[in-house]
Amino acid sequence: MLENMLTGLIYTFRWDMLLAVFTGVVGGIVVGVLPGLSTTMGVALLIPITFGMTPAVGLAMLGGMYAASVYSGSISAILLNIPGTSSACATMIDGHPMALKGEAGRAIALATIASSVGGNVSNLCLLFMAPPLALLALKFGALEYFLVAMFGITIIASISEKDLVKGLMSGILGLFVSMIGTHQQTGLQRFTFGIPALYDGINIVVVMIGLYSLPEVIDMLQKQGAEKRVKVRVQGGLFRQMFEYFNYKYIVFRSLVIGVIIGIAPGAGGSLAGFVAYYDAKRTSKHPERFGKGTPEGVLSCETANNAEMGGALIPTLTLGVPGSAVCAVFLGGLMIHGLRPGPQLFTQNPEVIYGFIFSMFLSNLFFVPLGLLTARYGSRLIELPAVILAPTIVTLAVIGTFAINGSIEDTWLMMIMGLVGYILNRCGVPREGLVLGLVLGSMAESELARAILLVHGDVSQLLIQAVTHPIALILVILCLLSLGHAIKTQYIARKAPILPGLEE
Amino acid sequence: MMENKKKRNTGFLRWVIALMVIGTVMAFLVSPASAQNYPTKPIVLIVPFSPRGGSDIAARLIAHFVQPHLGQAIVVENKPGAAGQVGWSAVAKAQPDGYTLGYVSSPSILLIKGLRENVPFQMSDFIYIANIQLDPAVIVVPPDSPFKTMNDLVEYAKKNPGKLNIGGDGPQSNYHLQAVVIEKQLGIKMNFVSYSGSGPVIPALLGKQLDAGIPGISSAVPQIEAKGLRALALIDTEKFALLPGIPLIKAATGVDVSPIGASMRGIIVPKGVSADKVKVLEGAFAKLMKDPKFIAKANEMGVPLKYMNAKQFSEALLSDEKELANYINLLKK
Amino acid sequence: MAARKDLAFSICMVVLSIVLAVQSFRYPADSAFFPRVLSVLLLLLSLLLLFRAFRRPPKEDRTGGIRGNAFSLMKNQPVLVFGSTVLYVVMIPVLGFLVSTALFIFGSILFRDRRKLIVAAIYGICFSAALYFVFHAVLGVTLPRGWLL
Repeated sequence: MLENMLTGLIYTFRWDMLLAVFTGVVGGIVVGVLPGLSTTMGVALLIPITFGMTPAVGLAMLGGMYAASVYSGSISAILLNIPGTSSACATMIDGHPMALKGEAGRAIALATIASSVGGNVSNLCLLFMAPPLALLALKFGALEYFLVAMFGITIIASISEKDLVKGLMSGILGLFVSMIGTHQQTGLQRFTFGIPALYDGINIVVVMIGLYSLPEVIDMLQKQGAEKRVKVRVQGGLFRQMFEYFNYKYIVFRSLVIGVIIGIAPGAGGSLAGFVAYYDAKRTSKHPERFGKGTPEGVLSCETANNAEMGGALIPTLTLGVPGSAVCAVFLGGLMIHGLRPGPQLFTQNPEVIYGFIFSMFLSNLFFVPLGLLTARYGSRLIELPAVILAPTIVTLAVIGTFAINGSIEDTWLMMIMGLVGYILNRCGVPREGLVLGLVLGSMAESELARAILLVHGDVSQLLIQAVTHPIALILVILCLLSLGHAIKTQYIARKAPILPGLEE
Repeated sequence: MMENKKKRNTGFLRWVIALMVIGTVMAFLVSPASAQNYPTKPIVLIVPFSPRGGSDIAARLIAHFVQPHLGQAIVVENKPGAAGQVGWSAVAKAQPDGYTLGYVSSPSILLIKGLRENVPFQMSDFIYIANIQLDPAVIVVPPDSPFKTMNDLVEYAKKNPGKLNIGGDGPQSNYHLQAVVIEKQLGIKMNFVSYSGSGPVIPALLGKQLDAGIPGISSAVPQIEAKGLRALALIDTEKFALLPGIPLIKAATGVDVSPIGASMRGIIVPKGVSADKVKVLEGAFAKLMKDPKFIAKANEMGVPLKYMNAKQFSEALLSDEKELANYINLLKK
Repeated sequence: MAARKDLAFSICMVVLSIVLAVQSFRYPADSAFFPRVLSVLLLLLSLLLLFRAFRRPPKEDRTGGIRGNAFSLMKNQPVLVFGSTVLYVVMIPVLGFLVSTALFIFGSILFRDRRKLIVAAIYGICFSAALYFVFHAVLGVTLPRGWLL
């Protein structure tokens, strides 16, 4: 094994590999920054381009795209309050307030180092601990997935501290959006109104772009008359500012663990990892009241976790052939096009390719640091463009981005409907993050519960016994209860309002 | 200033329209003359799934390798939606000029016709050119499963009706259909658990949440080869070339379970394409399926090939459509 | 202001949740467990919000990113943005992506700032051409075609 690794390591430093990683990273930063282009789409679009390359070079380029776009989604989240990719959704909660305070440079520097550390540590896990961690992935059954989803849903309560009722409503709306389409267990079409474009459900990227970009455009145009837009100044010494990151060792460590574990449990992906890490940082913080108002911990926790999720998600993808996230599903397609069949033999049959790929991921996670800082320095000027120019630019990107996902104009219309919804929610002070979490987790919660019940032949009591006797399930149950209890407690202290406790199941 | 701009704009527009008219006229003038040496321009292949799934990968592979045999490039266009309905409707409605092909997947297309109302195409709207892929279902169990043979599994299912948890892509997918057909023809009752695709069935089996699984063989090959899973029976009438050791369902149980759930994928065109163009296409795909480079690449990627010419392909689909009518009600609900 | 907004929002949500509930209870039980429970929950929450909006108007304006007076200053921005985007998307199948994008950007800039004619024209053409190049030529996405390009 060590010999195989060495072959891979040496292979990585060929000039064509380095060039491929570099190109992938540059492309990834562009894809990530532009609202309307998601990581999944970036990888999907790159696959045909890598068709003619040798497998190792092609994969290195795909890896660069993957790592850099997960990272750079945070740049537009911080500067524009529009998540460049879905995993940057939690980054916005504190990232944008930081930018409004004039600390955009600090926020981006922290996001950059956080992403790099997160990516590299999870990549180490992939390199050295893939087989045992893959075994952990196998321990997750339908019940465990359901509980993961429930845990995520309880987080809605804690990120909507301002107004629990509105936060929960937003979450339920998200759950309803996730139900549009063909029911996973019975094949019934729900809430589709006979429109074929809705049969397969609504793509999360479409919802996300709509929810954030159009309302932000309106906001931008409205502010332009009333007040000067906040000058986004990237202060000097971005590189130095990165090292502030290491003052938060405790949060970093926890976020890393959260990211890798959520990555391994297939299904939920980077946005959940970001939210959970954010929630965790807030819960353990001495100053939870600073969260949401632009605290660096908020940014670095979720940025560490969403890049750590990447290495985690690649573990089941490579060792079991089971994609850990939507991006990995596309990645799997890329592997197969290059003639690699994911599975137990992958590491022994094509060592130079697969280890070459893993080592190239280290490079990707390092390459985007200087490139990202440069983008932050000069790219932020883009945000200073007058709103009249920036606004149609964002709208155009949103339109073309949603169209390009599936090549269907219906998705663009859906994006606009979600834009209207996002605008209304924002005007009424309803947190849109709840809707995103609900959407991410809805179909997972529903279909895994149905599957879990089916697996015990409808005997729900047996399921309850399992929830207590299976160790992972038990841990998740406890986590759910803790998270709920915490949300209710803070809510109660914050505004001694008589809000019905335990409404959310 | 604005006026000026407008004038210039309309002038430009006029030019563009004039050019387009000329172009269209030219195209009409040129096209009948070149009918004999069809194809004269790139052909679009509509894949009704997202640019990531198995169909798409195979279609892109085919597009790449058929070019020398066809003399023109094939451009893959993804039109996903409604489990294929959107894309196949587009093929049915396309101009029958031979420049739009479709990638069909059966019995998925038959299931859509059988289970949904208001599907805007008929199976007779297409001309079937060639079948390329065949992905039969396989019954797999974890390596330490008490079921040593298919008969063990059948016996258990007979004694404990509805107790055996079998996972597969579903619901209302071709492998769900196959499970239902097995139940009916072997006289057993299993508990079919739906997963979103054959892929997620594998870890559920490895993690022992399921007693057995019924994935497509192509998604199970790596695990079977690595002895991570044991294959009890292949639901097909011919052995699987890459893994000839797997017993066929007839040999394993004595019952000739019909392999209707095996996923067949091939090339279609909308009806109305002239016979000589159909012949050109048929010839090109026949040659493709004998191309050693293509076969090698497909094997390497785990794409299971099976050639059927136009006649065989349409007959197979026709008989499947008839047979499906017997089972369609078992899939509802 | 915030209270009035809460009132309007909660009334909308009450209506929506009733519609969702009616629809959910129409589906067969084994496909509708989640939507049934959730629609009822949503109804309860909306009623709670409605009740609260009546009872005690919140002291502070908790609207997300929008400052109070900006709204009254340029009331029609939301309508403008959504209207122009709808027009743009409708134009795409007719004029094709390239032309309609250029026109949309040109129009949007010019409409809001008459002095920026040249900027609008140059930016409109360059940006749409660049997008077309990146998506079509580099990434191979099939962009919508109209009868003009």
